[in-house]
Amino acid sequence: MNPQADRLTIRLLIHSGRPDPEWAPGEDVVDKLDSLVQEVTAGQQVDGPPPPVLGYRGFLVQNLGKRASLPDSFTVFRGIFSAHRGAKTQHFQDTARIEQFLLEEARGRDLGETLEALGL
Amino acid sequence: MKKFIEKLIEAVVNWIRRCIPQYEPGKWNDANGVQYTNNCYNYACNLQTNTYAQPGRASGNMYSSIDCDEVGDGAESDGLVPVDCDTGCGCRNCCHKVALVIWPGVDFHWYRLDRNGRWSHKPGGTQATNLDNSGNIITDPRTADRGPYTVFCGCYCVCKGRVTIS
Repeated sequence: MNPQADRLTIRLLIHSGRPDPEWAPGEDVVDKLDSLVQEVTAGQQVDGPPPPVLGYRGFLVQNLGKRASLPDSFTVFRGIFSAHRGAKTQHFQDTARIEQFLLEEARGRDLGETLEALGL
Repeated sequence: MKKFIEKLIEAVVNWIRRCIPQYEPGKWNDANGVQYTNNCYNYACNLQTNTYAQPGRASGNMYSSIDCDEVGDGAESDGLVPVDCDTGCGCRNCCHKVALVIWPGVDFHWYRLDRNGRWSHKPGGTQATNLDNSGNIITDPRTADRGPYTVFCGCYCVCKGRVTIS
């Protein structure tokens, strides 16, 4: 077991007042995410994501374990991947479909009905 | 004399507006601790507690269901005061106006009226913005595109030093 794996958290950004659903993924998911992130960040930078809305706003992944190959945190929404390292933020096209991967992850955690109600 | 009167009027207006928060999203949008740990209730009350504040939690009267009555009661317990949306909060106390909306059975959301006369909000742990779901400037939360937050509950005054949230 990679001791860093459980220090990654995935937050489904969907609520405004109540806390969002959040979970710590298993090692296999962390490794897959790492691989997808490397693919996306090898691409060209693009403009930032659209302004936040009420309802589904994508995902926030926090790298609490400071896995060196991943940013401090990253968000993905409507096809835009945003990597945060310290005060610096870079945006990339989500060519590796990280958002879809995380949506599937969420559906596997009993969040399918919530997402379906929002047309996702 | 005319200049003096203009200066005097400006000073009075500034004094009345001193308690209304300015629209300064940069104070909240750090893509880090402040942004991720303060929600719409923190933003509306203009209080950064870093606790994802919940209506009624600070006063031991947290909501038990997601509807206008329960969430509103929790907020009143924290010190917010209901007010007609079409009137102001007055200038006797140092207050600004906020509005509560509900995604029935799922979640609540708050907007606040800024010094520029427009409304802004912070959808959860994401960035503060003055735009609604259609990308329009929010001039009235009752008519703004609020996505799934379809129920408009009402307005409240947040008065400086009289509201405690956690």
